[in-house]
Amino acid sequence: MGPFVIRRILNLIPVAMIVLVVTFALIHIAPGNPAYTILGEQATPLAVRLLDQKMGLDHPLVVQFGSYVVNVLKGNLGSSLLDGQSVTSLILTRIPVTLELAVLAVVVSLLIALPTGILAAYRPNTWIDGVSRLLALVGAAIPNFWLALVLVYIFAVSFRWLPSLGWTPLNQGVGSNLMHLVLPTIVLAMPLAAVTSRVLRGELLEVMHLLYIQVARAKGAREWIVVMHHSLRNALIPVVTVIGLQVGGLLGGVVITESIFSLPGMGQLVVNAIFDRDYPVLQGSVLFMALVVLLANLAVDLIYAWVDPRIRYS
Amino acid sequence: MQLPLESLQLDTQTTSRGNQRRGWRRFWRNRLAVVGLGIILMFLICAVFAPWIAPYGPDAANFSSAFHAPSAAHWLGTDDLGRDILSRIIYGSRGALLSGVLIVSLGMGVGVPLGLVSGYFGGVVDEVIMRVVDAGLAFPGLVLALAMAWVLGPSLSHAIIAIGVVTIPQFARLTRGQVLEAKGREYVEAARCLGASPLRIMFRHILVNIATPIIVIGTLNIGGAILSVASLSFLGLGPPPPAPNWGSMLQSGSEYLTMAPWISLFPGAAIFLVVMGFNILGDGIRDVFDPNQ
Repeated sequence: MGPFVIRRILNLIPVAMIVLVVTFALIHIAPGNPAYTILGEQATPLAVRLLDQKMGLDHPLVVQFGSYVVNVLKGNLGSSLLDGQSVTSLILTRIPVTLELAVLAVVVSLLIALPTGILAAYRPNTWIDGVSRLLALVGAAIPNFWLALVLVYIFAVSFRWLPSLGWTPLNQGVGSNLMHLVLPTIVLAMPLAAVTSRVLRGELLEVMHLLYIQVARAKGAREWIVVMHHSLRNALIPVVTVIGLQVGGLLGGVVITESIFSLPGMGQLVVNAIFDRDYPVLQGSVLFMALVVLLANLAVDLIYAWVDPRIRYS
Repeated sequence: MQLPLESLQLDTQTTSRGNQRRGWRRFWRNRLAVVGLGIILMFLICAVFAPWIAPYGPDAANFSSAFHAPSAAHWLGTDDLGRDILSRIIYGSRGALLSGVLIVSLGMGVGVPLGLVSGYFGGVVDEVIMRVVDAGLAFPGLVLALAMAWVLGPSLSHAIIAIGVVTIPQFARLTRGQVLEAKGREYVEAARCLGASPLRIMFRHILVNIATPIIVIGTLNIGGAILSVASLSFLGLGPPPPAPNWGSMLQSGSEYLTMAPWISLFPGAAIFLVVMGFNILGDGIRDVFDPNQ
């Protein structure tokens, strides 16, 4: 296991470097002075010069990149153009909200995907399978911002059962905190549940043909036990992988969901940065999210290698 | 040496054609896939013949009929400026379909050659290209596209470029995998023996043989691409206001959700339908070529 872990982590370094190049180059893909891109076309020359100095945009690109890398390694992602707050601390204050939302979404998606996936595999090509397939198709195609508006219209506007937007911190009341998260969680969980359910069904069907399942059946184990005990365990590994690979999609969904429901998390930070033309915050958030995805993929690989020794030696 | 190889290839081709014909028959019997095809054809007809189908102009504002609920005159109601929602959805299908196809074309146009080179040459070239691809895949697609579209400035073409660039790594990764599998086949060996250049082998021999799965994934991705454009437009990074764009219509309608829900509900339904259409069509086509899935 040791060599595998080291190899995998060493692999991460060049990738992380390229990620840094991308986030650094981001502002330079637009033609012209980056300061104009940040401030807008109507910026005064004075404002442009001040920003040039503040962000070091008047230095040669190599120097800029060098100091960018050094700063990032020190954990310094620059400071907000609005109020000068450090981007790192802005991100840190917003992580708990996004983390809570994401964890709830994964849990809810599993609550949907496990039963639908298992039932669909247990009775393939029946109406149960059909309904589960339809749910997956709908979940994958439904625009999350639209689903959010529909849910708000039904549950917050028409029936007034749930708050439509806003946030209560966990320490100011768990009930109110959860009430505010019900709709965003459903919106975020839907596409994840759709993918997971179909992957689980496919894996279960594949595993069910294997010899040890036949053995389990032959020794007289009940069908339900065969599915839940023998098949599910082996089918769950790819499911874990899929959830790990969906972290990127989840973060994309977080951006939309948090901005619709006004939840003060990472996603809202990104959208606000776009509206406020606060480039350092946008850049820092994009970098941070990419690093989260890289670490999530690393975690998935390590779990996978730990569970399935064949991976370590390939 | 040449003859047996030729006949061998011919043989596999005829059987694979036979399989495909059987596959297509399965496609037409797959009701869901045909429904998907129908949905897409419907939107395609709307896009091509918009001026003849739409009952009103896309920008025909009429303040006296603002916020009208769905009625005989306006089947899907009117928005805050009194514009006909149905007409705007019909005109909006043009931008939606076009952007979906352009995004996938951009992603394939750059990603497929990258994957070909990476898989065929292997070694350092492969290592470098794949690390770049890994880095590209690390970014949450929507977030990177959002940032790029913001830097480039809000417009439909910038949204298309941003999302297209983000999809490049996926196609590179997919193509590379296919190339690695094809590289060991006899026809590649035969071409090499005949002295074909690497470029020729990659594009005339390998690419032709691995095109099918790539095109299938491409079709599947059109739906996702349309969804991404709608997301960007919803966040204000799509085409500027008067343009009839589904995502922007939904966004501007969300302000009036309590008094006129139809303004945002119907454009959202259009996005949902077209994305679902492409997804189930893609599923159906995949079954044609790969019945084991």
